[in-house]
Amino acid sequence: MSDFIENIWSQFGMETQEHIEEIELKLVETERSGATSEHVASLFRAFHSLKGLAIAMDLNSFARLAHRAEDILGVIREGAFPLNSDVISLLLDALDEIKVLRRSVVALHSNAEADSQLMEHLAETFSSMEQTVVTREISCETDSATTQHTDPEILSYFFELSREKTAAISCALGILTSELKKATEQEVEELVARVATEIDQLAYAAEAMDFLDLVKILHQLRSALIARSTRDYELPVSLAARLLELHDQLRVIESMCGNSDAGSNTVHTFLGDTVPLNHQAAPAAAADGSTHNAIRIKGESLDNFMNQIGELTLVRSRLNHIIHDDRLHMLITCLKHLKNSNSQDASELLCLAEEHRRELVETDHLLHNSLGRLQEGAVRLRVVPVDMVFKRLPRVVHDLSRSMGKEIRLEVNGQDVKIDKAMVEILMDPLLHMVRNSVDHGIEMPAARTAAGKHTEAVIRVSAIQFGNRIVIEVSDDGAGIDMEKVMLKAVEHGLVMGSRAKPLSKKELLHIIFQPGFSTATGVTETSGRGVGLDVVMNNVTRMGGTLSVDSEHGCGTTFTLHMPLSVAIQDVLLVEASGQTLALPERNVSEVLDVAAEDLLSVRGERGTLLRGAFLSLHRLSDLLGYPASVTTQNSGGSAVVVTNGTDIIGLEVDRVVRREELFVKIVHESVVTLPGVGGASILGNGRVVLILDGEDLLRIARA
Amino acid sequence: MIKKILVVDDSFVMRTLIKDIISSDPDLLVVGEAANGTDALEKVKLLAPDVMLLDIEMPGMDGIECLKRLKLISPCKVVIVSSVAQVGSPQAMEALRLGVIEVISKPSGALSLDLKSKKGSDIVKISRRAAGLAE
Repeated sequence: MSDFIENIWSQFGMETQEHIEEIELKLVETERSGATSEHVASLFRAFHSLKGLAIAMDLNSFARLAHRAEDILGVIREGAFPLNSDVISLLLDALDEIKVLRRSVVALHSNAEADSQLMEHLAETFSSMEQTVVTREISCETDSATTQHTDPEILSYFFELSREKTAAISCALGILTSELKKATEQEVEELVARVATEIDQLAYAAEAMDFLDLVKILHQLRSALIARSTRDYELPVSLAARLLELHDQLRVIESMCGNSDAGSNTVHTFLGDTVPLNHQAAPAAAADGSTHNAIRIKGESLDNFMNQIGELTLVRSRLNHIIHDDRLHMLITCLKHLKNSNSQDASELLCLAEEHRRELVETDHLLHNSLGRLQEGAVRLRVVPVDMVFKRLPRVVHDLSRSMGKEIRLEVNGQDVKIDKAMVEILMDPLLHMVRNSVDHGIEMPAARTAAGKHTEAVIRVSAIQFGNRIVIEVSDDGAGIDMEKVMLKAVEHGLVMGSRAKPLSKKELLHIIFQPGFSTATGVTETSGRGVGLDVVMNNVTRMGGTLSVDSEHGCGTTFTLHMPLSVAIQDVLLVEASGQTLALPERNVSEVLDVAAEDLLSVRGERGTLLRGAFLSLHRLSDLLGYPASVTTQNSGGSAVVVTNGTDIIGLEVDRVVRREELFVKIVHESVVTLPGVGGASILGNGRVVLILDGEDLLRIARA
Repeated sequence: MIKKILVVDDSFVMRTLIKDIISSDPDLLVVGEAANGTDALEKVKLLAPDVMLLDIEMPGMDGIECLKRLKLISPCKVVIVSSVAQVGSPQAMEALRLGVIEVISKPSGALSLDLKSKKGSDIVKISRRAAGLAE
């Protein structure tokens, strides 16, 4: 297939997707808060565009389907039929079928057949609607003959033009008179030509409007201007003054006329025009030019670009590695020794080597900085509002609440927060899951809500806030909340917790259990959730992307899920450490500081190893122990470096053999089996080409607590 | 002399297809494109095209509104390229009354690869007529 056709297909895919999303959103909004004429018009337009696109690509049944929906909306647009919930349901069905067709069409680049029953249903609906309209249409026909100059919108467009032109004319004439003495013949020539063009353009508009007096004045002005024999512009300037005056009067009339017939009549009388007026109020023109400045770039090309930057980051960390390489260090040390033995050559060599090293370090810094800016720029290239994710929600909530007989209102906030385009897909799953979870488990049936003294209509609030380079998405409902006792019982039943455990679990620990594999308190298996594949899978995916998911709940009042995610998944700041001879990476967001712990600072409180951090007890854990590595000899009770790891609430010290350095790692998406290893969140490649595991601070804290 | 064409349609796909069709005629040159009426009027002021290929249904200012305003600023000839505007439809009548050269339907059948020879020829033919060239 030619590139041209290939490109058309991919554009077809994008445009149809946009229309589908808009239709879905508008239909659901209409269902909730009633139909407005703008909504109906844009729905009509979207189906119309889908039809046009399908015709262009020879997709018959796709086009027919969109055409049917367009017809129905056409009747509704005429105001002959209401957009009620039956029609909305039917249109949503049509949209679903269009989605199915679109998917197969985009994959196969050829026509697919639409569901014949649905087509029939649409046709029937349309024909039953149309019968009520026929009579109306005939009665409308007679007054469609409005004339050009009577349309108030056109009139105001004319005023807009004339304002622009008169200002330009009088300005240019002003310059002409004041600069006349100094200006060269050529400059005068140019100015005159400019004024003449402006006059012509205004005269053109005035003529189209039948404003004959104005045309007369303009012609006079023009010929006076052109016919000048001397450098005398007195006449044109006085004419221009008259024009300006006229325009001021026009402006007064414009403000008077608004939409009233009397006003427009005045304009025409004033301008010597006698055509009778019979215009109707025209709809407001929405100037919606927001999209035409955008450049479309294929997601793929952008991804390629980002990958290139990722590679570049790797190259830079390789350079950084070389600079900090022991060999260079050794060379300098050797040269220092030689210099001490008073060798002239050695001292020169040393100077050279040190200078060389300094230059390398500087270059590395420069590279680091410009790479950072490049990265920022690239990330900005592919940011989209989080609304891209949120706009799927109304439909989901609408469908679910309908099928379950619950009344739910969805409130969305912070949809302007910008995220990496790649995050759209990544956020979608956990978010949908949380919302489904709320609808399914959180929110009670209307009767139960009434019994609990709540409003029958439940509310789900979804909000996004940006914190630095992270986005926090909260999904909260005012439903029944999580029943801790039930959680406990279920946990014991599934063997997730020992029934005879000595101390009772804290609320936080209990809430953590709902993220365990195979856990669900829902009594029945519903269409949406409760099939056992649940929050644990979501949790895993979130962790894999460097995010966290937590939940808080008040029994009887509601549940809040909080999702923390990076705005961009690609690059992470880490601290490289060594434990048991392995190099490991700790995400910097979990690291608060690095301590040197001397052997005499070690404490043991009730069998727990620790040290004092600014007067407070900090429990210490060997990283190799937490990860289940063989203990290294060097750190046995002899102190050393400890990295303080925290998630904001818990804090521990991780004892490591050595703190290596800070790094920026390009995070690779790794296989799930690696992520499920305790304490591990991902993997990347170091500058020297070696694979490094990226640890998960949250998980380490959890292991340390257990 | 080569005639300047402005393509106005809210769909990128449509604009691309129409541009491709026009490009088959050496006498015609697409000098610009616009996604709605407001945009189109600005482009007319800047580019002074000879012919505008105009869609009717567009978000923001639609084709008919654009047409009414266009008359105030340019003698540019207009051909309506739209799938609403089947001959005889109210919009088509309105457009013709406002002085467009012709109302034709949008290109179809990109799959058949011979756009230029099939439906496309209609667009080229009418554009040539609008531009005052021999058909």
